[in-house]
Order: sequence, then C-alpha cells, then structure tokens
Amino acid sequence: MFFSKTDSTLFIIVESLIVLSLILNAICKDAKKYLNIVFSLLIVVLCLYSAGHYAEIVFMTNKIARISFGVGFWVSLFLIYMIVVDALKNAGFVYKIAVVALFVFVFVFFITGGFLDKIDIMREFYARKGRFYQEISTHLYLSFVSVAAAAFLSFPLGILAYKYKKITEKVFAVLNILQTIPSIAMFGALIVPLAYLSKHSAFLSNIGVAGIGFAPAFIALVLYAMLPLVRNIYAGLKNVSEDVKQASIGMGMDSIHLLFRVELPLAAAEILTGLKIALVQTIGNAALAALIGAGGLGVFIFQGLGEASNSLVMLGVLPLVFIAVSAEYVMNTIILITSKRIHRHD
Amino acid sequence: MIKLIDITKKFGNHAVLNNINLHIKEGEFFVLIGPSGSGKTTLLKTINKMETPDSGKIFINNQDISDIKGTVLRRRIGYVIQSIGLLPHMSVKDNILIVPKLLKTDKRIAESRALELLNLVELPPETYKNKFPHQLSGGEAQRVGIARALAADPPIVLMDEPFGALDPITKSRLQNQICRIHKALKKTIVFVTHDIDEAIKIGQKIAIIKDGNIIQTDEPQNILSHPRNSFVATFLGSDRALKKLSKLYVKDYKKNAECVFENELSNDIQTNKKYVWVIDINNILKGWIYLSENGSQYTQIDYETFALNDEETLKDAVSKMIVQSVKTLPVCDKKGQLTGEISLTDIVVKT
Repeated sequence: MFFSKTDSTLFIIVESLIVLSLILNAICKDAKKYLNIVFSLLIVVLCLYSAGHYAEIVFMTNKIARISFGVGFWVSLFLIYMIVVDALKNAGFVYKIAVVALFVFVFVFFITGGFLDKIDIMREFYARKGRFYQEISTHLYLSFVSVAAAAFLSFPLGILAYKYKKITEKVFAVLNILQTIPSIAMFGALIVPLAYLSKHSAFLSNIGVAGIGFAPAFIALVLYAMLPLVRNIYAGLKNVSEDVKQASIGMGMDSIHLLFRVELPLAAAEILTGLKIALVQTIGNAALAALIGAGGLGVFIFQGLGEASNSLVMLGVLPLVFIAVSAEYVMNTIILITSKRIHRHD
Repeated sequence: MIKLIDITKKFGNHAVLNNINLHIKEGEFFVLIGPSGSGKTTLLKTINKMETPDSGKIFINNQDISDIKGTVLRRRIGYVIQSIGLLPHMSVKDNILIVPKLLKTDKRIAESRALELLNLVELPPETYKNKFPHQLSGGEAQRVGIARALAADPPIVLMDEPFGALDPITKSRLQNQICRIHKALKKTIVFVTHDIDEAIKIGQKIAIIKDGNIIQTDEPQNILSHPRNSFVATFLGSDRALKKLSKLYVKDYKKNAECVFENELSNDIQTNKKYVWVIDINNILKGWIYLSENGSQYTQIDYETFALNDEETLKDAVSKMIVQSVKTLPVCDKKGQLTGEISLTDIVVKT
C-alpha cells in the first residue's frame, strides 16, 4: 500500500514536471537555458531519492532481495543528460561549470550520503571497494600512458607525412589498416610475438613485457590512438592557409621557423581535437584490456556479463562513461581557449 | 641594382619565362605588367629565389644571387603579396617584427622602427599595434603588409599585385601612399600588376610581359606614345592618349594669362582676346570678363572649384574643362593667385 502510494505520487510529480516544462518551453523563449536545468535537476533528485528510499523499504522486509535501477531509469538519465547538454549549448563558461558542478554534487551527495546504499549497484561497489579504486587507476594509467606514447610517436609521423608527400599515403594506409583490425584480434595477435620476445630477452621480461597483461594492451591502444592523432596533425598543418605560408617563406623563414612559428601554432586547435578523439577513444577501448589481463574497468564489465549481473556491468560502465565525458569536456575547453588565443575570434 | 640576364624557366614543356633580360636601377619604381599567365609573378619570384630559373643569372648589386642562401636573401628583400598573408595569431606589431626577429635585430630598435612604419602607412600605432589581423579592413591589412615588408629596412621591395583585391577608393589611396613612401625612403620597388592604369599611375618604368617574353620596357609616357606592337597598343587600351595625359602635368603646359584688376573693370580693356581673367589687388582670381562689340560681361568664379593647380595632370585639366564647359582654364597657386592658363588647343597640339 505504502509503496504504491509513493510510486504513484512520484509518477504524478515527474509527469507533471515534464508537462509543465513542455508548456513553459513553448511559451517562454529563455525557458531552455534555466527552467530545463531546474526541472532536470528536480527529476534527478526525485528519481534518486525515491529509488533509494524504495530499496531501503524492500530491504527491511526482504534481506536477499536485489533492487536495481531499471531500463527506464537509465533511459531517463540519458535523456536528462541530452536535455542538459542542449540547454548549455550557448551558455557562458561560468554558468556551464556551475550547472555541471551542481549535477555532480547531487550524484556525489546521494552516493556518499548513503541514500543509495541498498541499491544493487552500490552493494556491488561496497563488496569490491578496494578493487574498484585499483581498477579505475589502472584504467586511467593505461589510457593516459597509451595516448601520451601515441602522441609522442604521432607528432614526428604527422609532420613527416605533411612535409614529404611521398610517404603520406603509405603512413595513412598502414594506420587505416591497423584501425580496421578488431581489438580482440589485435590482442590475440600480440600474445605470441610478445611472449616470444619476453622469453628470449632478459631485458624485456625484466621491464615487464609479457604475452598478456599491460604490454599487449598498451601496444594495441597506442596503435589505435595513432590514426586520429596523425590524421589531425596532418590535416591541421595542411589546412594552414597557403597565403600565410607563402608570405612567411617570402619573408625568409626556413622550414623550422615555418613549422614552429606558423604551421604548428595555427594547427594547434585541430591537433588538440585529434588528441581529444584519441583520448576518448582510448578510454573506451581500454575496457577491452581486461580481456588480456591488463585490468581496468573492463574487469567489472566482463565479470558482470559472465554473471549476468547488470549492476556489476554498470559498476564498470558508469565510471567509464564519466571519465570519457569529463575527458572530452576538459579537452573541449582547452581547444576553445587555444583557438581563441590563436585565431582571436573574440 | 637588379640585373636579370637570359632568365628561362619551364614548367614541364611550357616555357613560363623566355630569355628575360631586365635591368632595374637603384631607387626605381619598376612595374611588371601583363595579362594573367604571362609569367610576371614567376619572374618576380625569381628575384627573391622563391622560384629558381632553369637558366640565366640574376645579380643584385653585382652579386650573383645563386651564391646567396634563399632564406638569407629573402630577409634582405621586402615582399608583399595580394593576399597579404598576415599571420592571424600575431598582433600587428608582432607581424611587423617577423623579419627583424629572424635577423636578430636589437629588439628596441626594431620596435621603434615598427611604430614609425605604422605612422608611415598612416595607421596610428597606439590604435593599431595591438590589433589582430581579423580586426583590420582589407586596406588596413595591406598597409600593415607594406609596413611589414619595410621592417628590416630592405633596399628592395617586391610587390605582387598588392592592391588587386581592394576597392577602387582604397586602391587609389594606397597607390598614392606607396608613391609617397617610395619617394621618402628611396627603395627600389618591383611591382607586379595586371592593371594598366595602376602601372601608368605609379610606375617610373614599365615592362610589358606576355607569354614569358618582355615585349617593351620603357617609361610610361614613351610606351603610351610609341607602343611597340599591336599587342601593347591593345593592352594599353583605346584611351591610351588619355592615359598619357595622366602622366603630364599642368605646370609644364601652362602659358601666361592676360588679366585685369577687379577695380579697373570700368576702364577700357585693351586686348584682342574674347575674354580676360579678373584678379583682385592680391592677384587672387575673382572671375573672367567676356568682351564683345555689344559690351562686356563679368562672371565671378571661385578659384577653388574652377582653377587648376600646377600639380594636377592634363587628364584632370581636360576633365575639368568638360565639367565646366570651357576650352580654357586658369591655373592658380594654393592661395588662389593666378599663375597662368591652359587651353584645350594647347593640350591637343603640344602633347
């Protein structure tokens, strides 16, 4: 009796919020920017609170019951994410930060405040707390080290592909083929040669190279990250206006001056975009590293898939999505500041 | 100053430059003109080694430029192009300082020169030095382009259709400005254009180039009076006689004018002319008096709109005659004092 009452009350509140928001959107031009945020926030708070509350009540009567967020919850969360992104599209920087911080605060408040403790996903979390933090840091380490190494290799390669037309096509042919190899196949293909190398070279085995674990995951992620990086470095340099290049050469710049004072600064925004793509893509791909024993958030995802436990899958997926979205957001901000500094579009 | 000897350049089988010989004197404003695809830009680029000729030699101050490294040579030669090519991520001042920085010129000297150059191209440094290229109009940007080319005080400046993309009013202003700068700084300027009016207006010497061959090299008046062949004549246009007038000045064609003082108009005027100019006691032009058997008629005029001055061209004179519907115009100095007169007959007969 009590649950159904809360349920229907909640349903009516959320429904009326949505209808009210639709009406306000239709009559008020500025509704999108402020009202939609307020309504989204209210809906998130209501959903989280009622879900947590419901789980606690169920738990009181039935200790072995497992209460998970249903599909509707995730879909709603996704829709609210879309609405917020849309509402913030033309908003000022400070306002954006404030709204994002507010939403993060709400989630952190509900999670750390223990309101969701009886929900399945949180119970999975408490059961694996130590492992969770360890896998997150492994995931971050693997992703960032791979992208850093890929960037280190891609810079000279992108510049060479731009300066020497003869090798341009060859570089991209190789990188494109690498990109088409499925990740699992790539991991598999790396096991044999790496195992062989590690067996026959004391140095390599001492620094931790082995057929499984970090080494194959790192190599595969580096290779995948190189295409977007090299492609954007090449395109960025190529897109620098021919007039600017001609004028610079005409003033007596040599190719080093031209590269460092003109071409790279003017290509910076595009190069950073390549870095963003590589980073987001690598954070996602790194989930597969768990398959080859390199750890990372993929561990929970594959374990959850094996146990048919959606909550465990979500324990891996949610932080993964959060890291990827944050990385994209941070990179977008850096790109915006860079292109403003360079192109001075004020 | 610049000597080009037997310059030949081919792109594939197509000869872009065919045995070009040119001699550009120090301090000369030299214009290379020709239709598009004639090779004029390629020719210009051989001078700063942005293009290397297949054969032939180029000497600058008697030094063979094939002995000089391209980048070193280019830092000593100013270069202005139509698309300007200001670096969008640098302020106006930093754009001007590019070559001085490449040459490692003392920073303070270079900066004060940059500000002087902004003044020279009539962009007040305080307003413009910290602006960025996208904040400038086309004309302003090209003036920064000119200042940038002059930043390291190069003896030679190469200009490749610098005013080609500007509107007519801005273009005309910048043409006057570059002539003034040329006179003030005594640079050797090699200027490429396809605009014959521009060439005649600013060039001291013009080389007409077609299909990689120099057809005629001479001073503008001589080319206008004696085009070497029908191509040159066509290129100059059917109004070339009028264009020639734009290179001739009133001061060289005016003659003495008859005049009477305004306060003596009542006296009998002794002349065999149909009219005389009327001046006041300070010699300032006041009008003219038309004389006939039936008496005389005094017309007052304002010298500022009616009279010519010494620095105006014969083209201006003819134009003013048409506007005022007269065959003769007075010539005054800046204060309005009558210094002579010029008639349509004189222009037609003497030029």
